[in-house]
This record gives sequence, C-alpha cells and structure tokens, in this order.
Amino acid sequence: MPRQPNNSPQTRAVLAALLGGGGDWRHGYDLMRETGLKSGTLYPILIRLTESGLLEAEWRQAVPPARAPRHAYRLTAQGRAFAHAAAQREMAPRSREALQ
Amino acid sequence: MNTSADPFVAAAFKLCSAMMPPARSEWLHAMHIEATYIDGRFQARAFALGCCWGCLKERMSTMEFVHKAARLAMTLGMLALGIVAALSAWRVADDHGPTGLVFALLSIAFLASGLWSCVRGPAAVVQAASTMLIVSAVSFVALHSSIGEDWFNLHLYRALSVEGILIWGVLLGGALFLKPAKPVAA
Repeated sequence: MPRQPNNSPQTRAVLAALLGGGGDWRHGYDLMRETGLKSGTLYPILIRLTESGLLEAEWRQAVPPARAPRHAYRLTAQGRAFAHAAAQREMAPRSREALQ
Repeated sequence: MNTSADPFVAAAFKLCSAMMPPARSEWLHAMHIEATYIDGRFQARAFALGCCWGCLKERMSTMEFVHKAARLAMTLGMLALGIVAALSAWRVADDHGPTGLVFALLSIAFLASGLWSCVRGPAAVVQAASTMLIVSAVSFVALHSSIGEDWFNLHLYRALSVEGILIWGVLLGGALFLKPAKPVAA
C-alpha cells in the first residue's frame, strides 16, 4: 500500500517542532536536537516539505555576521494548517483512549 | 570550536557532493554550512555521516538508476546466484552441515534480494546491495580475526566473504552510478 506523503512519524515530529517554534526561523541542527532525528533523516524531510510548499527555506545572516549565512526554515501558512491537522489527527486516538 | 577544517567532515561532504543530485546542490551547501556551526568534533562527524546517508537517499529517490535492461540483468543475476547457492547447499549439506548452512543462507540472501528488487523496484537493488555489502565486509573482518581460526573450511568462508564484497559492491556501484541523476525541479 503506498504511503501517504508527509505523514511519517518523523515528518510529524519535524512539523510539531516547527509549529512549536511559533513561526520563528529554525536551523537544521536545532531541529535535529529537538526532534532527536539524525541529519540523514531530517534533511530529506525538509527537502520534501519545501518542495510540497509546506516549508519555506531561506539563507539568513549569521550572528555574529562574520560567519557564513545559514539555511533556516519555517512553515508556510499551508504548512501550519497541515501541521495543525497532523497534530489533531495524532491527538484524536489518544483522546478516544482516554475516554474509554 | 570550528569543525569546518576537520578532514573527516571534509571527506564526508566530498562524498556527499558526488551523490547529491545537482538540482539539490543548494541543500548540500546548507548541510555543509550547518556542520560548521556544530560544536564538538564527534557531533560534527556524526552530522556529516548522516548527511551522506541523506544524499544517498536523495540520489535514490531522484535518479534513473540504470537502464531497464541492466536492472533486469542485476535481478536475474541475483536470482541465478541464489539458485547456484541453493544447489551448492543441497550438495554439501550431507557432508558438512555448517557449510551447507552457509550456502543456504547465501541462497536465501540472493533470492530474497532478487525478489525484493522485482517487487520494490530499482531502489531495492541499492538497499539489498548495501545491506549485503555490510554483511560481507563484517564477515570478512570476523573471519580474518582470531574468531574462526579453528573452523573447518575457513578458507572457503573467507573466499565467500571476498566474493560477497565483490558481487555486492559491483551491484551497488552499478545501481548507483550507471545512470546519472534525473534533473529535479528546483
């Protein structure tokens, strides 16, 4: 059975981390530390999310500015809606379990 | 500590640049820059190794691996090797059980890889070949250490591990590099 795109537990973890950031720009290594994902898992997810329009990526000036600009990521409006929906889908079974 | 000068990290990103599809070079650059922001040599190295795996996955997902004929030949080759190994297992099992078991396991590995490649498409060749390459390499190292010194047929097992490294290495190299990456929409 084909998998639904952008619906793996790892992708949901990345979406949750980005959603929790409150719209701030996030860096790859920060996301790795927060989600516990390895770079080999995280970056392909970021690429997929960017290509599907859920994430925007931008080179942002480093602090201090003497260092090279760094790639940063944040959810687009569509991405936020998708991340909210994914979070709700994940919460729904737990709520049902709690009620039983 | 700036880890950008670490030779291991540099070598890993050189490997990454050989694997990453050209249309995604900006992402490779992003990973490389990110590595320079990581404090700690071990963490930077782990990050770089992970990036190698990520680039390999990107290559697998975007490339036209091989011409269909080459892919078919690889799959048929794996199935044929599986049958040969199964016949060998059957012939030697009565004389020496452990050797028969080794051939039976080889047969299962070849047949399973061949079938996996038929069912799951070209990416499966890479998955199967990289897994079996690691298994062969570990066997090679183990058989050349003190572990198997007293084993019967040790030379045969060593030869099989070398053969495994060659066969799976060729399959992996062929699957990855016979055909250049497809251009991807940026």
